[in-house]
Amino acid sequence: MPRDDHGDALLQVNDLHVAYGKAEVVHGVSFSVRAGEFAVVLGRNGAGKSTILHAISGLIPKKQGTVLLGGVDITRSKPRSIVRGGAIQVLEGHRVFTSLSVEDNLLIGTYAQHPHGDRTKLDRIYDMFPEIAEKRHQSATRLSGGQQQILAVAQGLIGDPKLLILDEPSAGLAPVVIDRILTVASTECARGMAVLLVEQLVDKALRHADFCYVVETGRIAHASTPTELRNSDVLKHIYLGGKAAATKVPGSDARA
Amino acid sequence: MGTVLLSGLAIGAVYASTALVYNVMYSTSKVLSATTGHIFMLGAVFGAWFIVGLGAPTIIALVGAIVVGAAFGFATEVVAIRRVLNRSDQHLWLLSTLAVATIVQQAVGLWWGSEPKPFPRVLPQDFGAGALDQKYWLPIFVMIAIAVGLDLFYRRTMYGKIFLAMSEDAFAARARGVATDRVRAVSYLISGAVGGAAGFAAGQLTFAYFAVGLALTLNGFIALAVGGLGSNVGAVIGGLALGILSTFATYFFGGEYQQTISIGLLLIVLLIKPEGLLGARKIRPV
Amino acid sequence: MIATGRPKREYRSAQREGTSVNAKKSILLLLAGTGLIALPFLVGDRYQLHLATLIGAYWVLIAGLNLVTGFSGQLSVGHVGLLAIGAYAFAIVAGKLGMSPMIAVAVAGAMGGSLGLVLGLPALRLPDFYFAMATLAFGFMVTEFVLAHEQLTGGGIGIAVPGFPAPFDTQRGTYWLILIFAAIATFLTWNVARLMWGRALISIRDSVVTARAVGVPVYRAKLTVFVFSGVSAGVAGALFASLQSYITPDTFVFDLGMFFFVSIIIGGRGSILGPFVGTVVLTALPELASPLAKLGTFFYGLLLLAVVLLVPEGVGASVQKLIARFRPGARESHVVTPDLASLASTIARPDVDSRTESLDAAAVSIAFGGIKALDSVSLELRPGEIHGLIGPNGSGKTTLLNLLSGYYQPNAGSVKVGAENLSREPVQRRPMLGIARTFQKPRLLTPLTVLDNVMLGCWRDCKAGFLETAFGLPRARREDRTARQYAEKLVAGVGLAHAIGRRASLLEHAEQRFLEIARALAARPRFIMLDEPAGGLTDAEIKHLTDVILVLRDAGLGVLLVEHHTDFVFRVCDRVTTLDLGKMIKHGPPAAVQADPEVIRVYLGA
Repeated sequence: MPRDDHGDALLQVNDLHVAYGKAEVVHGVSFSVRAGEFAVVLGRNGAGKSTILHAISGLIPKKQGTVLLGGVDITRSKPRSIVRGGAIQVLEGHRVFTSLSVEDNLLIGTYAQHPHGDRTKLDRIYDMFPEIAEKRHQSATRLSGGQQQILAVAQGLIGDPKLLILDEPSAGLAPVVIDRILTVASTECARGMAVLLVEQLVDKALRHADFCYVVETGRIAHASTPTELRNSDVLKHIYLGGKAAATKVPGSDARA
Repeated sequence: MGTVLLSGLAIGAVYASTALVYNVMYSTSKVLSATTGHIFMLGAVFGAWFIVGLGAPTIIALVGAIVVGAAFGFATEVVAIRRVLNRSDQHLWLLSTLAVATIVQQAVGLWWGSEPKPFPRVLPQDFGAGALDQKYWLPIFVMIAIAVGLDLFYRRTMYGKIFLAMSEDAFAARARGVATDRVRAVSYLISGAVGGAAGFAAGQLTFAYFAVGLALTLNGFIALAVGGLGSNVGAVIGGLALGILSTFATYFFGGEYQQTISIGLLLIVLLIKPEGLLGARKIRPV
Repeated sequence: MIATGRPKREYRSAQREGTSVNAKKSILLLLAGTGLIALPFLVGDRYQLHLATLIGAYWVLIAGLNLVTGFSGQLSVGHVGLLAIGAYAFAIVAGKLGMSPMIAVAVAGAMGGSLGLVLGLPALRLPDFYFAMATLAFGFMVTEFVLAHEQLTGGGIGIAVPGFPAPFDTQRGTYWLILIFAAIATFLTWNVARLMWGRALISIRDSVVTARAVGVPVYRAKLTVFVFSGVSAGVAGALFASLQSYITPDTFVFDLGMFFFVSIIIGGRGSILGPFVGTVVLTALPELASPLAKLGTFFYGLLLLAVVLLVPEGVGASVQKLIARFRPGARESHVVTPDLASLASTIARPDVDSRTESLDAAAVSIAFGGIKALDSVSLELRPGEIHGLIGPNGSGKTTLLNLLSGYYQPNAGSVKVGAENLSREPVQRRPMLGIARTFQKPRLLTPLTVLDNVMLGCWRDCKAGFLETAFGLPRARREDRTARQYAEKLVAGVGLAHAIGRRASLLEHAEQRFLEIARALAARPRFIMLDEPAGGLTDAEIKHLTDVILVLRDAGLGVLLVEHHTDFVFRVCDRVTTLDLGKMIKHGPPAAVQADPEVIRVYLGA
């Protein structure tokens, strides 16, 4: 699949640089995600994956670069307008609000579009996730870690995103739960929602991916389809050392 | 004896109200503002001025006190909190709110005078009313209204739930599209409005006196720390306990050691349970 | 030298100009001193002399409070209470009891110190706001006490205060007496500021985590300076009372406490000269501009707000920063190039061969809120080895590192060095046990220079107590000198010689990382633990980092390398331990770990 027609891109990131204080951790990252595409970003810890996601959603400042969502420049936008623009991020670490009930957590997911919460959206989500439907009026503290993560994903989905950004949803979860989340994301993706998934669990992520990026020390080291990625030894070298035999990718344009 | 208990409850209600206002500001900014007690002072002073100085009817004066309080709360957020929260130095908000508190106290002292002035009757009532005196019941009533109102706000309105969410995890709230800067400013505005009304209600007890602010900042804080930071139920318990304790101590031992006794109560509670009676235990940060 | 309000210079040029700089400073000091002594003859006005005397009395308190607030960062707004205690003690002992005023001053100081201890013991354990409120309450409590004991203190009416005997009974004589006390206060606090205790106090203020990591006994240090400030406040109270000749509780109001506090903040924290200038300005200003006199405390509040919002580090420090920014060479980008030979010889230790003990975590387990963060993990860090610790997110690497550093105690298992069990030892004992570490995000004392930051690491070898340091006794000065010399060598060794006199806040990220390593080495550790040291470094910088780590290993240190950068780890380590979900899954030589199917599964998924 050629990746060079930007016209189609729902999310377009160009030359993104992000710094924490004096330390630049993302050095000129460019990539894109198409509408309805399941894009996966892999890379070992500390490579800058979460930082890229936080910067896209406007949660941390960007040093340089631009981000376009559906053709609209959101580089300087506040998180609220980015959420309203359809890019919703599910943070790492099942960050739901334990001081609220399950249902209230979901309603907060609709807050950006509806200041009083949109109850009409609840039914669809409860159908998708019966395991939290039965606990809807309980405090979110009563959920297990896995259920909280599912709630976090549901909290993201209830906002009807055009682009769902998932930051390591698997961290600390049982395989069954991980599969559940990825299957749901995949299903929604088939219905037209784009997914940008950052993951450490390579194998599971690749199974659902349409396109993959590998991030290494703040740069995109590789971009290709899952099959091509599996056939190369890039991942082994990225995660376990030794210089990768092939593929350094300067942007999202070139094929592997 | 009954009057002693009642006056203890009344002053305790004022402390409790102060603690509740502390909590509202703390929830969205994680800042304990030294200006908290001064909001109440403004409510009392301006309330007295509107009624006695400008001849306004009571309701108008109350509205005026609320507006003044809200404006002060909002100004505090803009001047002392907003620019300072981003800096890494954790002491700065303590200094900035202390500065604003000092400025407002001195400004009022210069304009209103440094002597306590009586606060007029809010409802028609004789001065010999004893246990039915409004100066006891107004603060108690207002405290109950605040506590119930906040509870309804947090549990029944979306905006209140946003407050709770932001209090728990501001970063996650932003990711969900909450405009945290605006919410924080609103919370300070609400604190100011509530504090202004409560100060107005307490005026007959505290008098319209520029120095009341500091005393309330301190005692309201003691009530908060005893009850547990972040807990509204704790704020009420802490405030009432403090009020009753210090009033009874005054009754039995003379009023000379009020402050000492208050601090003594705080130290005892902190020794047993450092996070306060109903406070949340914090995990060791590394 | 720590900030004194004078322009900073790059260290090398300072060395060259060394004698001439010191000579200039000595001349200035001499001039200032002569001026102060001659002051009574230079001012025409009795009132102005009274003002100068008052400033002197205030300064005795503020100098002590400066160590508490300006240096160790404890925001005390209630020191006016200690002033009151000193004042009343003096009035009662010298007046009511009729004893010698000098004895009364001593009693005042002792009372101030004792009550400082009583207040400080509980209050210093509290977080910021709680502490400030506690000191505020203290101020009120002192007033309550005074009013309650009319027989003793005169209650609300007040009490007369005797003056000093000849030759101090004239206005000039009083001035000179107070000048002597002010000079003593300056001498004591200046010594503390410029020697190792000063750095330790600043570390408590700016980075408590760093303070503990280098071995500063945080609570004890805070309490010590607080008691000292109580003594100086008590003495100041005696002098102040005698100046006023009549005191009432209304003399000691919150406003006065704010004045002390604000003088320090606007003058600049971490300096002696800054708060002194602040005191002079705040006392003199209302006199010079009479509209301001009426505004009084309102003006202080406004000034405090302006400083906090615009120049939070105080006017003095901001001026310094500005000057430093315009210095030639201050903006040059410089690749950190370690001087490996120099580093090797600096840290070489003749006793290293006799040490064969490892740092041993044996089957440690720890759980947080029901979740097992570490499950029976063992790790052996041998001297003269580089040991890597890797694992995916949530594997427990950071928890293990923090456990080895002393932030947590294991629920099961033990941490030992040889036979010595460290499991229950707190963090600040680690440097004494020969264990040092760096942090994932560099934690530095940003207003201090590179040299000062590294010198802080030498705290472990400093035995001189507070009083020794305050009086500038030989051991304290010697320890400072030794620390300075060792730190200079380490700075050159890690490649920061070009920035030795630069403020840490102006360093580039890589420079900050190497600075942390130098500081860790300053404690002469046997084991050094590096927390993601390669984070944010370029390939060239990682190469230098590798060289430095190899030097450390060859010098016999045990190096624990916690890293995500697996490539770097496998290249440089002798042995590697891999964790996943709190369990140790493989350890051994890099090649074996790299090829292990379980490790591959953990990273790449089944």
